[in-house]
Amino acid sequence: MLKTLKKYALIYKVFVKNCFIAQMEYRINFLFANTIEIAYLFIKLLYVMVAFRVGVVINGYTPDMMMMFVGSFTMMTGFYCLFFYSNFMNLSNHVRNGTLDLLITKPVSLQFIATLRNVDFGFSFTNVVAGAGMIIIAWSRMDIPVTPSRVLVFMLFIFLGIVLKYAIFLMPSLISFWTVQTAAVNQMSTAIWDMNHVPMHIYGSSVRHVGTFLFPVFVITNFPPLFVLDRLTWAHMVWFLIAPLLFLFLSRKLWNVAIRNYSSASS
Amino acid sequence: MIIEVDGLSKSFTYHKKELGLKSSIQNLFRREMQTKHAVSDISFSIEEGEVVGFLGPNGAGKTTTLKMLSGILHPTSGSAKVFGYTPWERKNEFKRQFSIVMGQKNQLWWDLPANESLFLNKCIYEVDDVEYARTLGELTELLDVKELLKVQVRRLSLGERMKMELIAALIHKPRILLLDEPTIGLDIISQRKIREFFKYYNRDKKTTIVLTSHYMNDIEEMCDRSIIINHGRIVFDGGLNEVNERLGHKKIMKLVLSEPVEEWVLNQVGEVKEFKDTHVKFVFEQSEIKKMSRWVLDHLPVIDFTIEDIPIEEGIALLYQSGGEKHETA
Amino acid sequence: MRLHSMYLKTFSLGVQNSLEYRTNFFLNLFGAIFPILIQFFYWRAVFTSSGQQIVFGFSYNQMIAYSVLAVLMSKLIGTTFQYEIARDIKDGGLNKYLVKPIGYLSYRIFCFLGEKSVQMLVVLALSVIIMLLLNAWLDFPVNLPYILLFLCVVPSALMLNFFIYYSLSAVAFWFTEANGAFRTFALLANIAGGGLFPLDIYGPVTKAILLALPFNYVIYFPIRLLSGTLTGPEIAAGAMMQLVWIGVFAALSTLLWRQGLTKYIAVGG
Repeated sequence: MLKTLKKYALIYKVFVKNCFIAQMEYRINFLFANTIEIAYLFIKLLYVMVAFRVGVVINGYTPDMMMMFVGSFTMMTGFYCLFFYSNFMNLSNHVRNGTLDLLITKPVSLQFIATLRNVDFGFSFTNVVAGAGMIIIAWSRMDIPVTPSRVLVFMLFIFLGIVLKYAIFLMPSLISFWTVQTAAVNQMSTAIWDMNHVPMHIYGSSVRHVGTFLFPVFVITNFPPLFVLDRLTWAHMVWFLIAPLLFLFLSRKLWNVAIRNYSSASS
Repeated sequence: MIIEVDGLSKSFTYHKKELGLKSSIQNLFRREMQTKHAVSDISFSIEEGEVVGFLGPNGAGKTTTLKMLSGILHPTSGSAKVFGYTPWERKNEFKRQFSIVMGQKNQLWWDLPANESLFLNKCIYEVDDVEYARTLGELTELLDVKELLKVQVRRLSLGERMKMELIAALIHKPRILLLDEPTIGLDIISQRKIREFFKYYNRDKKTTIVLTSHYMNDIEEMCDRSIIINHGRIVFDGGLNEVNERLGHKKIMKLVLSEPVEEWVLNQVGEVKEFKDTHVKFVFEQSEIKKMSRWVLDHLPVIDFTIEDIPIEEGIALLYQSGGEKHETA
Repeated sequence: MRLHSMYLKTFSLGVQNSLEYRTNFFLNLFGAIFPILIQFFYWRAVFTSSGQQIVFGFSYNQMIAYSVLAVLMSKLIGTTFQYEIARDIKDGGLNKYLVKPIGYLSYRIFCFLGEKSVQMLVVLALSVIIMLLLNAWLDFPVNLPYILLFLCVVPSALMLNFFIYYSLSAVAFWFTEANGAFRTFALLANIAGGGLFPLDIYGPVTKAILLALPFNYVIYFPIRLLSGTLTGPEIAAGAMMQLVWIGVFAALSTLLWRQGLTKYIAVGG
């Protein structure tokens, strides 16, 4: 078990190294990726700006709190792009070009190698930095005490968020095993993710419940700041520990179905 | 027996799309599904150390067979055992013992020097450092690519890239090497070098090699045994030089006539293969050689005439034509 | 007559294309529900929390109607052909059009219109349904003359957006990796056109600048018209400006494409 873990850690290290070398070959693309991210960041900031301009407490959230939520959303988007996005987008290419065939024959987990192989530095840099910046600014403006336990739990929650993000956003990408027209599916999952532009308590209760339990996108970006603001209930905290495992399990099941379909329906 | 295949079949369904606005609209509501039988009920077995070639026209089922042997595809029915494992169960112990190279798909990272991809494979196959260094040294020496290890793959020529792909596939010393069109797109010299490498490697390591190819030369030079597939069925299994025997010892007679003859006259004699002006080609049983010759010389205005064996290419073409109807296997 | 049928054929090619990718289109349209949800709940929260009747010069129902229509309008006028053009330029696919009697520009226009015609029917039908719902629910004024006027300016908005992006696509003659620039431009142009928030929230100075740019005639202007907040002269001026900008970008694209093609042919495609 420990040996397997070590093997996978080593392989992942090689992935990171290889991706870095490869991406340094195309510095111009790196630059372009960042301009796109800055444009998206601009949109996120507009939501904060509107809150500041209206200048009132919206559904119990001050403009500073809004900034912290948008910061958390921005950072999570950055991590998603860093670790997963390009892999998920590439799944359809693997299926179409048949490169999945070669990956299948490798003596490591196919899911590991197919969904974690690429690490994308270009599309993530701006978001991770800007998101962290927003969180720090909002944190200090609200005079929330910086205690080790608060910071550590916050970081743990960010990690859980990343795991949960992988699990629930892998599932829509798996549609590429059944249809080659995946653009719309990807757009849709991005649109759902973008619901996090505003804190979950802005939404009506039915939308909020769906986004917390059924397809828990809100959990990922809302729970870490809610914890910092001391607004996370115990029940929610427990759910945040269960949800990543549950959805990892579900996505794993769906992955197996997708691969079985691939190897029996294609030629 | 290192590979045993019994009654393997593979079929899949796809939907038909016709061109035009009208059918686009029809397609909105109803899609016509069709079934294609890529491989139908094939059986064969391969011993350790053999080099076996799959020959057949496009879409005959060669690649599909190879994919089932490597566990990429599930068959629709039938069974296969490779070192006792069922390939499509995809056990890691099984995967560690073979390699597949597909001429049109690469596993090397495009923007990286090849040695980075090789190192990744070392980690994936858990090859230890000493073993890795030795195998790498040996293979680069054999293929003469030592200096190219640090060059980005995209800057390599097609032939050089193929050699690197081979090293990547052999770095863990597989017992079986599956090759799908390994020389496709390569120039003649690179083709020859790669072939020689395979021959040497097979002799030296006793590695079993199973390959598919369009190129007759690949198969003729490398394989002691060929399995010819057409329409998903095996139509021949054996040495290429035995193709003729399988065809029932047929011969070809070529004639040059002094003046054209009516076709019905020729048809009286035997099976006319080709007929153009004064040039005629017959196919006939070896046993009829005397009777044929006498009749032809007596009744036709012959200037020149030769009798020869059927060339392998033509023999195989004949097998393709007869494929499907007659497919008893050795 | 032959040319005429060629255009018709290109148009039907566009229609076919949009039918072939219908799953994409409907999912895409369904995906519009999420930004609408964000906008709806966001503004509802802002209005109830602030306790004011008017925020940024909009009443509650005007703001909701604007946000919903802005999302739909962005979908309706959205273009993707710039990426195809960039690919054609990059890998030489343009060559096969250069020798055809039908110009590349005409090919792109008719293909675009063919593709949009199907989508337009769906989006417009959806807009009407939503308008009626808004009317029943929020007392949103539904006024037949305005709807007709709206239908008149939508084609201009579509053409204006076509020419903006057709001009932009010429960038691919000079930069091989233009996709990043395209995406950045599309995002910013959408904001500047009022596709995210009405221009009024950005403050008077920014708004004045944005109104001087062409983008607001693609989204902001048609929606304001439909909401019945523009006077007769304003509508006339807006429609006029749409045509002016179409002219400007048609000229600009001709210029850029002539330059670009010279370069393209010079380097041998």
